[in-house]
Amino acid sequence: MEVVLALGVAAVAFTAIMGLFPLGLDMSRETHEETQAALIAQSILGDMRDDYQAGGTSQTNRRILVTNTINLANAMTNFAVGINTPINVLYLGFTNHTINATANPGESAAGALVLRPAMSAQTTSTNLASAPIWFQNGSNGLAAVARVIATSTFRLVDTIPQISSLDIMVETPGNIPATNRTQYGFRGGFR
Amino acid sequence: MKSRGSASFTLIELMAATAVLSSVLLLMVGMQDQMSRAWNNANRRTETGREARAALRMMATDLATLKTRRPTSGPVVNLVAANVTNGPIPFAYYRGVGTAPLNIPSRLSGSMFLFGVATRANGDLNLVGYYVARRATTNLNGLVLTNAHLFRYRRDAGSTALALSNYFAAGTNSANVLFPGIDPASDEILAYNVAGFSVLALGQGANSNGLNFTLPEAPNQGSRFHVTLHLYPEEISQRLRAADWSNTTNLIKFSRSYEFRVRPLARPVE
Repeated sequence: MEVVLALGVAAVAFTAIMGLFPLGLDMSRETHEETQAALIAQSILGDMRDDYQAGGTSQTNRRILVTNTINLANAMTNFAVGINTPINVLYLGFTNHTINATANPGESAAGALVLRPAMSAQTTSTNLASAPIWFQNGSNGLAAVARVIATSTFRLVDTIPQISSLDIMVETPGNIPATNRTQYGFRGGFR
Repeated sequence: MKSRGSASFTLIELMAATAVLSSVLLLMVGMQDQMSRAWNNANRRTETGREARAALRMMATDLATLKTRRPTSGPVVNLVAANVTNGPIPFAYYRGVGTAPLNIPSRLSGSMFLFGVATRANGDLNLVGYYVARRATTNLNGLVLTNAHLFRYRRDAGSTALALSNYFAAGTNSANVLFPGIDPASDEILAYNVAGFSVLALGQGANSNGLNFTLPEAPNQGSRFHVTLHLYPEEISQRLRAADWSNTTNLIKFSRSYEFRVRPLARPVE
């Protein structure tokens, strides 16, 4: 009887200590995800602020980097921030990419894992039902996803590029339904 | 009369209970030790993440304010650069291929670097640069390690004016004159235990290893820096030999990687 009681007390203490274990791991994971989310937002904002287009005239498309395997300098996709469309939504899906110095000349630390956008989709609605399926339910096994909403905030004349605000929501992990993810929100502006 | 023996423990029972409790305690101490290590490692990794975030924020600010210019060939010629014979500013840039245009003491073999002229909000010009080099540091346990770190080189407005003056007066296209006094012993360590560091300029031209580097506005590419930083957590860096520092297996297994892109805020000089 006494031995059983002693074991019971020990088990309670043991369980309490075990409870601390995932706490430490979670702290590390959350900080890492938060950092990665901030960097993703920084990159998207950097892309959006670069208004250069072929010929140097168009302001209605921004060049967003969407690549995971090919040369960085040649993997741009258009994100329409049309003058006549007040809201434009861009969805990005990120995967872990192994750096390949041959495909991307100049990259250091070949073999290291980085988060890179591998897929994208665009809508003009912020409704979740309008989002691509992989964003809604995490069906593509992505590491993270991001939703970027560009909203016109000020316009003088329709034909002049307007100032726009940018809401960037980075969500992790990307392989579970949208309602269960952790969200990191960022806001910026571009013109 | 009640027997005394029936109300107390026998020696065997006590020994058995003690043995069981000792075993459980031993197990718990072992587990506690493991968990303590895991907790410490998690703390160090968290610290690595915080450090990376601070370093990258600083770098993003610097890179966003670097002076850029249009290429010297093509539809628009940089008139400022065209008037300085063979001395175009702004970058000393090296991608790890060919001869590096700048001498950096203790630089990690093959690593990239980027130096340039940044504009501050008050209009001052500062020389800034980022490179990876080895420097001996003492950690909290008193252990002296000579690992590779990311360094930030910076010169204030007065020193920058002097360096620019010397650069133009020398009449040679020398990065060592433009960026004097680079020294890992005195420059600021921005991030510890760097496994890899790269700065790519999207839309970069063919001449990418020296002072003539520019950000050409090639079709559909724009003008952006793409920065990648790989860090080893402290406990891993203590175990790695210098020869194994850039080993692919170690990179995959231990390093944590961070990437971002930034566009220089000012349009290139026309």
